[in-house]
Amino acid sequence: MSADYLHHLLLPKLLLGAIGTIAILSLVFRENKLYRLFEHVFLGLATGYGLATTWTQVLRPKWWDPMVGGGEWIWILAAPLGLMFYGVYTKKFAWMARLIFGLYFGLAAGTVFQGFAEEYVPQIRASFKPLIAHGAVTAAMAVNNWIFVIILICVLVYFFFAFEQNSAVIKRSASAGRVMLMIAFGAIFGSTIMIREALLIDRIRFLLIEWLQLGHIFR
Amino acid sequence: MDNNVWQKLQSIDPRALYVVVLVMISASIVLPGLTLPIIPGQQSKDAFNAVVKAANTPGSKFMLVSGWWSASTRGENDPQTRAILTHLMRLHVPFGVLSFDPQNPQLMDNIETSLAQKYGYVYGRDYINFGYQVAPAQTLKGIVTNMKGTLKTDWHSKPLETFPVMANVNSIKDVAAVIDITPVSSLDAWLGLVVQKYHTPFIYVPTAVMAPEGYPYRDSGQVAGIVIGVKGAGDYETLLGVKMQGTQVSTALSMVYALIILLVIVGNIGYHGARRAAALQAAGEGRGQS
Amino acid sequence: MEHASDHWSIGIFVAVLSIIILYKIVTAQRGKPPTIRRIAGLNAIDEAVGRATEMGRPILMVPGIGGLDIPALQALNIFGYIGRSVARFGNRTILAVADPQLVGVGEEVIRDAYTSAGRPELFNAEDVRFLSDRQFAFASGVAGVIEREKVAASFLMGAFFAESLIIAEVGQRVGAIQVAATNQFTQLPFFIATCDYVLLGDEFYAASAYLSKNPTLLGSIVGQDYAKLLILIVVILGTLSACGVLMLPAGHVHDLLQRFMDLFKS
Repeated sequence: MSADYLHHLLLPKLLLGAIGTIAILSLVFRENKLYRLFEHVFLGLATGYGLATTWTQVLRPKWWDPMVGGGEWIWILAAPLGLMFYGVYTKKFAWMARLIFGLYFGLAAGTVFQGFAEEYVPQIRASFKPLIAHGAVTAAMAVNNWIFVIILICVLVYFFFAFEQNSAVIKRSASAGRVMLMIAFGAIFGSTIMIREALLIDRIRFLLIEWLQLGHIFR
Repeated sequence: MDNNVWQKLQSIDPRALYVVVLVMISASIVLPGLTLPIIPGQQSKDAFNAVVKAANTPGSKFMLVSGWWSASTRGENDPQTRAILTHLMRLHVPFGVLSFDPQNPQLMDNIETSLAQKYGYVYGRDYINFGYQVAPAQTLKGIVTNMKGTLKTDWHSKPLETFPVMANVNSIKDVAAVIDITPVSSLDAWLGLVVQKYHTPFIYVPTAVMAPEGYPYRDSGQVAGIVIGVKGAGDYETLLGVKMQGTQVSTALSMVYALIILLVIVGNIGYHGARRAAALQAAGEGRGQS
Repeated sequence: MEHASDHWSIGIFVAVLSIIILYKIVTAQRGKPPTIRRIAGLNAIDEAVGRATEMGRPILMVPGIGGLDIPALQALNIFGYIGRSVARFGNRTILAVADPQLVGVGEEVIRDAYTSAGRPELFNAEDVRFLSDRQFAFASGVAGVIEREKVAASFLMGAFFAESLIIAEVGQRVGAIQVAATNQFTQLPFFIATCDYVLLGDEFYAASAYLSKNPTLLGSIVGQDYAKLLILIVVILGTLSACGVLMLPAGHVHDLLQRFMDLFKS
């Protein structure tokens, strides 16, 4: 083992990253003190990082610098408005927090209308699918369209809550809708296994290649 | 067969499986000869073609790349970003990077800088990093009509007007395509607030877990293409004719997938075997009693 | 709406859906609140609370990592109901949050639950914990809480993302009975694989309305049902129109059907 390699292995940013990775991964075998230590280190680091970025990436560039450096003194009003959130911790000033939350939700709600129209109405339009094989629509396309419409109707029926699902037709449609949902979830589960593996592979690449240098990185 | 065998098939010690997975992944990463061919999926091809088409349409070729990812999802979003930015630089397309996570500007900058050196891109002339935007919904609403007024400065707090790349980019109308690289549910924000106004082509580049959100929108044409996770990155690299991280990871991914399929089959054999054995035992006991 | 002048028909459609929902909310607030069918998953909640009490181990509630948003508030509604049940049995509740804003709101909800059950002395403010606002740091923290506290039941309700499986898998490993509900359909498969019961999609909001008996929420659910019915009718008419446009020769009827379909074109 050469001195350079040892020096590389002991570089703090790599060594700490490697030990942290192994410590957190050790939970899959058993809960242990090393995991607990690094869990708390992780939480502490994340909180500290969050605090630091709140100042460096949010408050300073968006509020302090324009206010103090740019002469936009109107930004001073953001301070009392922001502090009103903390009213939620006291019974006396809880009304302040409710005011500001209400404003917050109201602003968000306003954009929801636009979002709904631009996101979901095209979906409704796209569900107008011809069910008959004719002209440009082939038999295979027509079958796909039938499957699409039947699933759409059954799943929508499953999510009706205003009335009891007593009639046989409604009950069977709702059951079919639930089965189709489960099939869809199975497909989604299969596709999302990828991220689990990809994140694990990335960590193993870090350990084997970036830290232990047992291979080379494709760049 | 003895009921114990069926139970054992259903309850293989997970620790043994973890070791097998670790060995498989390590072998495929460390042994360069161990590679499987990559066949790009249709979704990735559509995304690739959408970028090419946007780069060839008359008018502004400026593209907006939005990043919502942090170091937590580096495993998927980093190779996707490298593949996408490589493509943009090869097409000589000017682009701007918009970040919605505090870590993202730095992560994007690392990738931009390393690729820029390779493709002769110059910051400010060919690309720009707008930095972290605090309020996504408000930012996205603002850029539809007034991009410079909403974003104001780049990541280093320099006014956007000073950059040649922003000379003719004033609103979303001047954006040829939006590429969203994300591990979160950002599709609603882009589709609901931005791209529908001028039907700007939207390419969705999510982690695999968020990809199913994009399928209905792909069907309706609201999303031009989807680059799904690290597999999508591998597809994209294959279409580009390069071998980068996505390609390196794809073999490991395929091997683990094969193992999971095998385990699902084995588990189900155990489950149905146990049920059958229990039913036979109950029937046998019933006959004994009568 | 920003683009209403371009697409007036879409604007009218959205307005009609909104009016239906608002009408149902207003009539619910003024008169008798409507009833909705009991969601099957609610039995699982009661069973989970009962089992945890028998085992003498605490209950964990996680309102997602989406921050102070609608799913989190709906989750807190349900947690208030769960908190009251848990308080009646004298058991302990741990609430783990990923947004500092939820600490105050969560404390209020759980404290009120214990107080209304007549057991205010059992409420411990330290059991409402902000762990981290970073996704995987939060997942690690929740995993640690589940392992160390050996929770008997966990309720995972709200907006979850990739950390959902990490949290739910640890809960399954310690043998906790788990009930999940999320608006993120990409996470539902993970919860279905690891939890004992999952409320799918809209069932989450319906459960919140059913348990809280809040007239606004009940009216909203019923209004949404009528809106869904209208959308279903539109889809059926649109599908028939698509068939007609395909089959019929150009003419009056063909144009009418095409115009109906174009009403929803953005």
